[in-house]
Amino acid sequence: MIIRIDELSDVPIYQQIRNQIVMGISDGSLSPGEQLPTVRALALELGINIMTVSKAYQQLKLEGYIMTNRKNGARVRIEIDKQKGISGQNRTGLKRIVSEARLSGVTKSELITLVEELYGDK
Amino acid sequence: MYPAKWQNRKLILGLNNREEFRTAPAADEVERIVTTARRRALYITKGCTALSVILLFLHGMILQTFIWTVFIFAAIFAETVPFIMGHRDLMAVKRRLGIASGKGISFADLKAAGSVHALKPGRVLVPNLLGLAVVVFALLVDLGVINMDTVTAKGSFLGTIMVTTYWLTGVLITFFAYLMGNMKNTVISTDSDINANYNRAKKKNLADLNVLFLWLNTILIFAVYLLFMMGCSEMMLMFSIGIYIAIMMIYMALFVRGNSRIEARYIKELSLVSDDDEYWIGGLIYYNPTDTRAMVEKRAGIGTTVNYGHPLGKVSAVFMVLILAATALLLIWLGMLDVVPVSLRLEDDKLICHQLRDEYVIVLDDIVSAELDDELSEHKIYRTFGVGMGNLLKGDFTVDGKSGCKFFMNPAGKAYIRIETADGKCYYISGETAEDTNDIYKELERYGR
Repeated sequence: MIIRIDELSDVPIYQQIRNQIVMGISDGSLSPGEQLPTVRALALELGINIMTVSKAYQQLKLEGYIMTNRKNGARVRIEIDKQKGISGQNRTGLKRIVSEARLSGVTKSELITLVEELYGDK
Repeated sequence: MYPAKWQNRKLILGLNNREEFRTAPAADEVERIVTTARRRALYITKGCTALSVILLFLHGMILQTFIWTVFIFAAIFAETVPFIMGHRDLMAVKRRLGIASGKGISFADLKAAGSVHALKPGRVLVPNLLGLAVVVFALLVDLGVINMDTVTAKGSFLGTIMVTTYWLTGVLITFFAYLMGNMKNTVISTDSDINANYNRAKKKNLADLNVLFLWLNTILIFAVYLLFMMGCSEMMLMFSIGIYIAIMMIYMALFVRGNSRIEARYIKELSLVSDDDEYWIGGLIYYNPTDTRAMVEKRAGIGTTVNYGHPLGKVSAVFMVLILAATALLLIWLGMLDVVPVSLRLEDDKLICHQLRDEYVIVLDDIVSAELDDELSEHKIYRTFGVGMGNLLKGDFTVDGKSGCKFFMNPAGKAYIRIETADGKCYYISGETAEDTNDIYKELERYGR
């Protein structure tokens, strides 16, 4: 899986890493139990600070997407907790996307089709 | 630096090769830019070669050293000029094609990150240990722990210094091999297997050549010490320089051939360009303050280069300036050593040898014996520390196996005085001319020495 970092983006770099790893787990690019690079190795590859990668991994661990230990490094969790709900932050983000789509003239069915595509139903 | 088949290269004149460059309408213009740069570089190479042949006929060591040093720096700079010009033209094409700058965007392959290594520690450990064994052996011979009758200059530590220098070069090669082996992987495709294979191939090419270089360096350590034991000092020097130049040329040729093959093989797989062209000044100097890496892969040439935007890069830039300034000062100092003659004078029952800031003072009462001679070439002389020029020998030398002899003489003047003092020291001194030396010798005779 390829991670793309934009240093000039408004989104913090650790958040970009976190988001892309979550998307990778979701779309199957990262399989359950897959080994992730060490904090140092990923920081070297991206040319960023070790603490930035560490922060992204910490967040992923807290959210239950990955597990880490001293011996094996970081791995994708085999069983990810199914909370069956969307977080408040994501709900706000979704609301913004739907509002912008409505203002842009995108119909409800078009939006649903797009969601289904992204969800992997189509 | 100037590829003939640029279509097969990942980088052209320090810029990322891309689909837009290889297709019409830009392809013809890129072809023209690359061909022009190649032609210019060829003219400069021919010019430099011709000039270097003329420079071989220069007389005078100092003049030769000065002109050659300036020439080498100028030639290196001149060879990069067509590259920088081509890079500038290619950047203009890129802007005209409307290719957006990828400044600030970087890619990493999670599968390849930290897992692609080609340099195994065992491969570099063995040649280093063998080299170290020679260093230890040479040291034990100099310390007299091992008795080797064939080594005439034992005790002078000359052999130890020489093999240690070569061995340290090997350690330095190992360090750089390690750095190169841990360089950032390049992402060329969305397929992780392609990225891993590409980077493994490139790192293996580098690792193989570094290991080869290390082994050749170790063989050189053995050969140099063998020649030293046989007492072939001049031959040893010529041999080692010749071998080193040959090694460098083989190293460069093998690396370039290997790299070209890898680039040609993987150019078809190139689907992702990590565009950091904006950070490469003239395609040669990497300046990216946002990049935490101090060393990055070069875009032209072999190995790694410094990120001048990194604090360590800034320190190294200061060092480079200091080295250049030191080289200039060294040349001036060498020139002064060449021009200012050595002088001898008797003053207050003391014999004083003087040149520039150096002065040897020999108390006349301490002199046990003084002999006038003119056959220096009959002795086996090794310089341990000091200056060894056509018209100046100054410092500590080993003469016929006797170490610690003090030299302060102009060998071109032929005549010299060999003085032994009560404290066991041995001096080889002379004035600027044979007449000056003879005059001082007569004075010493008059004094009863």
